[in-house]
Amino acid sequence: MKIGLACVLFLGLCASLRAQTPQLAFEEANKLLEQSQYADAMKAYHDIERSGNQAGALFLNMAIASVQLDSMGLAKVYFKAAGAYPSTAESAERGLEFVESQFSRQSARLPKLPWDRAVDNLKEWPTSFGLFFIAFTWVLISTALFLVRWFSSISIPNKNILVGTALGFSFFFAVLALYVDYIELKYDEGVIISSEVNVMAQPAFDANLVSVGYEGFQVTVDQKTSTSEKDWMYIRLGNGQFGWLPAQHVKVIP
Amino acid sequence: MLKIGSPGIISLVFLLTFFIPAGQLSAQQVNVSATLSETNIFAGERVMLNLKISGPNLSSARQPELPPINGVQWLRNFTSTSRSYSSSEGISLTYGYTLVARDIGTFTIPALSFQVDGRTYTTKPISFNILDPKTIDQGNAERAPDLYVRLEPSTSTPVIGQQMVADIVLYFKSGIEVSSFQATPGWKAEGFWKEELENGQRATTTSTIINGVRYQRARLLQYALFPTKAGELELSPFTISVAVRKQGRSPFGFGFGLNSERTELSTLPVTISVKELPGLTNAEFIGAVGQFQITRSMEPVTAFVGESVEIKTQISGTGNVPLINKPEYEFPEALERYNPQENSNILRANRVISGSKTFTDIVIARAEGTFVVPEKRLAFYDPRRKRYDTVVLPALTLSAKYDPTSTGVKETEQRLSVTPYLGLATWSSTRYRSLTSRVGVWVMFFIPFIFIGIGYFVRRYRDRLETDVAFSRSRKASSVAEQWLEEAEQSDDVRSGYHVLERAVIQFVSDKLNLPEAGLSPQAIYDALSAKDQALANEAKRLLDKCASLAYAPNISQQDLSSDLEKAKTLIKSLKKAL
Repeated sequence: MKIGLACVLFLGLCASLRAQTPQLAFEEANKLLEQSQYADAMKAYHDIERSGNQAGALFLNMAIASVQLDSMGLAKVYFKAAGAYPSTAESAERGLEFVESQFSRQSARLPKLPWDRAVDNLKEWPTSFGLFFIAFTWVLISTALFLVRWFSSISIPNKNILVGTALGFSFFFAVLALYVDYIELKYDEGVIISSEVNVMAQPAFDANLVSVGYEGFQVTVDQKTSTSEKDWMYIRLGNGQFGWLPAQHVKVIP
Repeated sequence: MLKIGSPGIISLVFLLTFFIPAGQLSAQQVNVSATLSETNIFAGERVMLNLKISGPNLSSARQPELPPINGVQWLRNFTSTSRSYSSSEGISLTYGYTLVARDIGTFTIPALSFQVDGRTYTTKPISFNILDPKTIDQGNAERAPDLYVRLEPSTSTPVIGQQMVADIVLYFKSGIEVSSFQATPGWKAEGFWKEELENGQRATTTSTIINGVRYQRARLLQYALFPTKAGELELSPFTISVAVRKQGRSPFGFGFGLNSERTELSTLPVTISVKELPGLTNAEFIGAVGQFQITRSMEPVTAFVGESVEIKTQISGTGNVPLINKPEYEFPEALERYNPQENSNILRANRVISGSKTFTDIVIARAEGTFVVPEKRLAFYDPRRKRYDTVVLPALTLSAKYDPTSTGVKETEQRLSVTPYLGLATWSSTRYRSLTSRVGVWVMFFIPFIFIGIGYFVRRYRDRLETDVAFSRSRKASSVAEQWLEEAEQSDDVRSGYHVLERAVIQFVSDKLNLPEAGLSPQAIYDALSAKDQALANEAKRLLDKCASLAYAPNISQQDLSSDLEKAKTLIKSLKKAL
């Protein structure tokens, strides 16, 4: 009993220390931001982000620092990221409105296909893990029906049909979960952070020019295809065109 | 005589002579000069001495008498006078004196004096040589070409970016008349930036003696060249086409151009050794080589957010103006930069490239505040002094604020109305983790199989219990034996208790070994157990024998029964493991 209590206390202490470390660094970075040392503040925020910690407040402050550093593309990235957190969603929306007004060029954006929109929604909720859990629940139901048939004398009409239906549901949700997982891993949303960049047909500077991207253009990054070329990213522009551009010109929304 | 130009200039001189008011020239001074057409003369040759006087009013000027000049004789019958007008000099009178070289040696034309309006003006002395005609190598003179063209650079060892002038010079012997020339296009000066300088419409000739042969020398074209790299660079041959006419070809002494020939001439290639510029550490070198003034200004210095501000850098002077690079400034990050503009004004007169180049950086403040463009040190190389000159451009300060009167723009678009989040943040881990990397997913994946597996084994066990009697008796033997032993414990009669105890042991062994329940004697039990475990067989036989003998024993106690019950339990436990 005593050992168990000690373990619980130890784990609680570890969790508390772990949570305090990014918070302390965050507060230090906030001081730099308040002192208008935007570049230093940004560096400190980046260190927190690189350490594997995320928070809406972190991204919101990074976006504000980016605005002060006149890096509107980067500001858009972090306002987008902050918008995913309920605590900072409203501020991020206002900030995004300001940032969008600063871009001299706006990209044309084709509406997404219904299926892509549906997948995007599934990525938000219930997420791939949630879908897999639904599939698991249906597997459990079919397993229970199966076991009932083995051990119980209770008569369930159309027992095989019920088991088959439950298995069908579980298979459907499992496939859906894997597809959403695949999409989640393959594609990322990003923003062009350079004032102007050429989008090439091939990952080479002397390749055919596909289009020109400007700061603030939101793009979809194909991470799996991009891994084939170091320092290049394969992207889809808002107007539906695909092409390659140097990786340093795009920032993926965290 | 080289004739290049048009009669329009003469007409212009005539008009200016008569229509420019004299008052404009009143302030001009009287200038006098003396020139000798040749300074290296062969004995017996004629040479022209020109005395020129210019000024606003030369009505009182009189042609001066020449004093005796050593080495030459003045031919009085060949004296001339000419009058001209120019806007810069006013009226000019030129008196020409023809002299014949007599004696060999070096002589001097002394200073000559003019009397104009009661004042005396004096020319400078002119030194000249009279050569012995016997020194002329007739064979050499005959072998020398009648005319040729040379490319004459002003220097052969410039530094990178230094201006040099390449003259295209035509040499031709006396008696040859060059009526026109045309440069062949396509001259390459690889490794140089080339600018054609302003060339006069009429090339003037001078006389020179080369290897004892007199040539007329005429500079036809001139180019400004700026080396762009170091090393041995070659100026390729320059080709021109000239129309020449030789005296004496026409039997009538004149040819009306019919006997002129067109000849193509090329210069020899010229090698230029270009040196590297020395190193520079404390300033930014913008590629300027020459003499320059550099200024920088900002307009306006107070602006609204979103309003464009120009930062102009003007570099003016003499040198490689076209090759000057834009200086790079460190702008505050809050200033958005647009494509810079570049303007240049280049003059090509007087054998130099001069002018100015203006770089305009356009910035827009994206936020309120005071922004400073830091001080900048720029350097250019002065080839005359052979060192860098550094110019320090002072820092520029821009004050930007929001325009309170701007309309049509939302407040949220005009300024960032979001304040930093300074409270306690809710932290989470960063990356999306794929399904295959999650332990929970694998647990959920295997749980149904585990359930199915367990169910399968349970169902198989139950089926065997129902169908396999031996298995069923064996699995139930312990519980049945325990029931019998419990009954024996609760029995009030000791003998009856031993009877139940005996039955429990026999029942257990028969169930375990699947033996018939009825008619088993202690010996049969012993025989059956002996094959498995001899010690347990002995113990079982001893206990069963005791149970059988106690039916006839006179006095047995409850304690004995309890003791034997414990032994029976221990025996059954042991048998359970052994069987």
